[in-house]
Amino acid sequence: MWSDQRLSFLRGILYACKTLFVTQSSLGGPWHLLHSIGRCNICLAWPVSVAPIPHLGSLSTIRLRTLLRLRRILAHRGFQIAAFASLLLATAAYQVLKGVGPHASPGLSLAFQVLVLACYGVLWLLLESVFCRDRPTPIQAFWHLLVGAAVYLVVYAAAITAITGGFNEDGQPIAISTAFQSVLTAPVLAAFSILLLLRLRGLILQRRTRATVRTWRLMVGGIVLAAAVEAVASAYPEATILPPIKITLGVGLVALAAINVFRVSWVVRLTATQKAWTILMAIGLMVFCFFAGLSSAGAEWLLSRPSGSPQALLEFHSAGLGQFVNFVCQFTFAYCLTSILSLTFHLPTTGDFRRREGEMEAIYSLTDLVREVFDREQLVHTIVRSAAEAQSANMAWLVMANPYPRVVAGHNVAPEASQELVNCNEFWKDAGAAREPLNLDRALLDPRVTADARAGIESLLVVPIAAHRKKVLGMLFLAKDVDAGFVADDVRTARAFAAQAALALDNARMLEELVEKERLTRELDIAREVQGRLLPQKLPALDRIDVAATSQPAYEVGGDYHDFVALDGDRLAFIVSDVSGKGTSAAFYMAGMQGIFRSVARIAPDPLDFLTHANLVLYESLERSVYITVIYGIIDHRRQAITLARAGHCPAVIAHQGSPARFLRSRGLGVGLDRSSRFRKSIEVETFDMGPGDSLVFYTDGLVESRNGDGEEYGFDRLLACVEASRHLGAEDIQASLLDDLQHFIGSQRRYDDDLTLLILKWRHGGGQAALV
Amino acid sequence: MSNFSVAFTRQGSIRVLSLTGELDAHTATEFEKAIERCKTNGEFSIVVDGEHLAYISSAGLGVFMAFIEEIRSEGGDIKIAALQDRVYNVFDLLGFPILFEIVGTVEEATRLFATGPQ
Repeated sequence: MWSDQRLSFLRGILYACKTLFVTQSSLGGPWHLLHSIGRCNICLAWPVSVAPIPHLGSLSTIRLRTLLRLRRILAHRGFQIAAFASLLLATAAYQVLKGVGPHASPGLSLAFQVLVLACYGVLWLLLESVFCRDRPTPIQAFWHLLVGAAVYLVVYAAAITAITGGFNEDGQPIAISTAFQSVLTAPVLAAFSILLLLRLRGLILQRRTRATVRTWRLMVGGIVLAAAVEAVASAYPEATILPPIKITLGVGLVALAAINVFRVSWVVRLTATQKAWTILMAIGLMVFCFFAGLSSAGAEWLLSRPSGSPQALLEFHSAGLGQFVNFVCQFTFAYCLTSILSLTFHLPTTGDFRRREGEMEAIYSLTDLVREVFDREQLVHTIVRSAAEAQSANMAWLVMANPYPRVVAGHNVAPEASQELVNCNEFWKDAGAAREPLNLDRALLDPRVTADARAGIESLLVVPIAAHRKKVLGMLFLAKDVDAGFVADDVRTARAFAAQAALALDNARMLEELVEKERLTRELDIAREVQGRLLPQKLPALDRIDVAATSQPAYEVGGDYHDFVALDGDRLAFIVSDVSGKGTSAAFYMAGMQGIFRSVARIAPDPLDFLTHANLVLYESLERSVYITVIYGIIDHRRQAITLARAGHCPAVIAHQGSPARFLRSRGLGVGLDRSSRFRKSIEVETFDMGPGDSLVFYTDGLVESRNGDGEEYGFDRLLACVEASRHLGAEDIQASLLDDLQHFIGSQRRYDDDLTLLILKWRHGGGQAALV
Repeated sequence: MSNFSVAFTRQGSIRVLSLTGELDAHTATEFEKAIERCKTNGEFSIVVDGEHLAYISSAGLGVFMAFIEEIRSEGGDIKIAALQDRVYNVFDLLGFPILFEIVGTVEEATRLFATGPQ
C-alpha cells in the first residue's frame, strides 16, 4: 500500500520534470515556463487523488498554490511594469556607476547579466500582453515594426548626437558618456527586438500546427539560451567549455531559422497592392536590421564617425542582450528576404488566387443563403448574380420548370430576353438527363443556341441544379463573350455551386410547403371550430328523459350531425344523420343538413313531410354519388310516445321494459338517392309508446363498421348485446359503456376510422310535467 | 395492395362485372373505372355479380348512384346479383332494393334484362 502511494507520487514528480524539461527546451519566452508549472499542478494532483496521504497531499497542494499565485502575480500588468522599471533602473544605475571600466569581478558581471536578462524577460511578458491581444494582418505587422524601428532610430540618433561617446579602435569605450549612450539606446533596441519576435510569430504561426509551433518555440528558446551562454561567456572569457556550446547552439539556430523563414503562407492571401506595400516595408525593415546588427567597424564606415554602433552599444551594456538582439536581427533580415522573394513570385498569380477565392466565397455565401433566405424570388436572383460574379460571366440566367422550363431570373439580361437566346426545352432534356454541366466552347455553332452573333454568347456553360440526385430543379446558364471561356476548373466550381443552389432551392420549396401546410392546418382548425358550433352546444334538459350525445369526426371535420329543435311545449324534434364519405366534402353537406333541419323541422315537423322536403332540397345540391342517411323523430311528452322515420340510416336500438333490445328496421330510402315520389312512398313512419326505463340508442355507421386489428367489424350483434347489458343505466352511462366496449374491441392503440355519433334517450322513472328547453 | 378486383365477363349482350374483395373509399375508383369502360363500350346492360364481394362502404354504394341515372337514360340498367347476406344488409338498410333489382343469381339478373324493363 505504502509503496504504491510512493510510486504514484514518484510518477507524478517524474511527469512534472519531464513536462518542465520538454517545455523549457522548446521555450517560447519565460511565459511558457510558467505554463509548464501550471501543467505540473495537474499531474501532481493526480497521484495525490489516487493515493491520498494527508501530509503529502497538503504539502504539494500548498506548493502548487504558491506557484499558481506566483503565476497570477507575474501575469499582472502593474507588477510587470513595476518589475521592469525597477530592474531597468538598477541595471542602468550600475552601468553608469561602473563607468567604462571592466566589471569588478566575474561573479558581479554574471549577476548583472542575469539581472539584465530577467529585466527583458519581464519586458517580454509585458509586450506580449500589450501587443498580442489582437491578430494583426501582415501589413499591420510590418507597419508596427517599421514604426518601432523609426522610434529606435530617433532615440539612437538623439543619443549619439547629444552625447559624445563611442569607442576607440580597440573597441574600448572612450568615455563615461558611452555608458549613458548604451543605457539610453539598449532598452529601446531590446524592446524592439522583442516586438520583432512577437510580430514575426504572428506571421510565422499564421497556420498553427504542432510542427510550426514546435519549431518556432525551439528557435526562440535557442536564442534565449544562446544569449544566456553569451552572458556567462562574457563573465568567464577563459572557460573552454563555452565556445563548442556556442557553436552547437549557433548551428542549431541556423537550422531552425532556415525552417522558420519559409513559413510565409500569409503571402498568398494579399491583394496585389498589399503585396507591393508589404515588399516595400520588408525592404525597409531589412535595411534597418542590417544597420542594427552592424558591428562598430561597419557603423564607423557607414556613419563615418567614431560613435558606437547600435550593436556595440548594446554589447557594452550586456553581452547576452547583444547576442539576443543580434540573432533576432539576423533572423528578421532573413525572414524579410524570403518574404520579399515570396511576395514577388506570388505577385503575378494574385489575380488567379483572388478569383478562386471569389468563387469559394460565392459558394460560401450561397451556403449562408440556404439558412437565411426563404424568399424564392430573392433566392433565384442571388443564385444567378453570385454565379455570374464567381465565374466572371457576362450573362447568367436561371431556368426552372413550373411546370415548363422557363427563365425565372437573369443577370445582365432580362428573363424575357434570355428566353429567346437558347432553346430551354432542348437543354433541359439533354443536360437534365445527363445531370452534368455542359460546356460549349463555341456556343453559336450549337443548334440549341438560337441567339445571333450580336448577343455576346460565344461560350456557354449549362449547369443542371439537381436535388437528391433525382429531380432536376433548375438549370443555370452562364455566358461569356469569348469562345472557350470556361475551363475545366470553372466547370468544377460550377458543379459545387449548383449543389449549394439545389440545397437552397430545395429548402425554399420545403419551407413554402410547410407554410402552406401550416395555413391549411389553421384553416381546418377553424373549420372544426365552426362545425362544432353547428352541433348542439347544450343538450336539452328534459324532465322525464335522460339525453346523452357525442360526435367524433374521423378527420378534423366530418359528415355526422345530430340536433334537437323544440316544436311546441310538448314536442321535440331531433335528428341523427350521416353524410356518405368523410372529411371536408361531407362537412359541407352536413352544414346543409343542419340548415334544413333547423328551418324545415319547424314548419313541416311531420317526419314524412320533413324528409320529403329535405330530400328534394338536398337532391339538387348533392353529388350523385353522395347521399345522406337520416333518422328523424319527434318526442311527444304529453302522449309519452316517440315517432320515428328512418331514411336509409342505421337502425336504432330500442329497449322496452320487459322485452329484449331490438333494432327498429322500418323501411326508408336514403336522402339524395331518388327525387321521385318513390322516396316519400319508401318512408315508413312508426310511433312507439315510451315509459320509464325504456331507452333508445341512435348511432352512425362509424360505430358498427369500426374494425379491430384483424379487420373484423364491431357489427350489429355486439352493439345489441352491449345495449342489452347496459340498458338499466342512465343515458350517459349507456353511452360510456358503448364507447368503452368499442374501444376495447378495436384495441387501445387504434382510432375510429370513420365519423362516429351516438345519441341516447333514456326515459327516467318518476318525474313531473315535461319542460323543454 | 388493393384487395379488390373486377372481372369482366359477358352473358350474351349483357356485361357481367364480378366484384371480389372489399369495395371501399380506396377501391371505389377501380369500380368506377370498370363502369366507365362499359359505358365507353356502349354496354349499358350491366349485372354486378357480388358473390365474392366481402364488404361495401358508403363510397362503394355511391358508385352505383353515380352512374345509374345515365345508364338508365341510355335504356340500360345495373342489376345486382348474388350478394352475400352481410353485404345485402348494407344495400337493404339504405333502401337500395327500392332503386335496384337485387336478385339471387347472375342468371336471374340476365333473365330480368331479357324480360325487359319493369
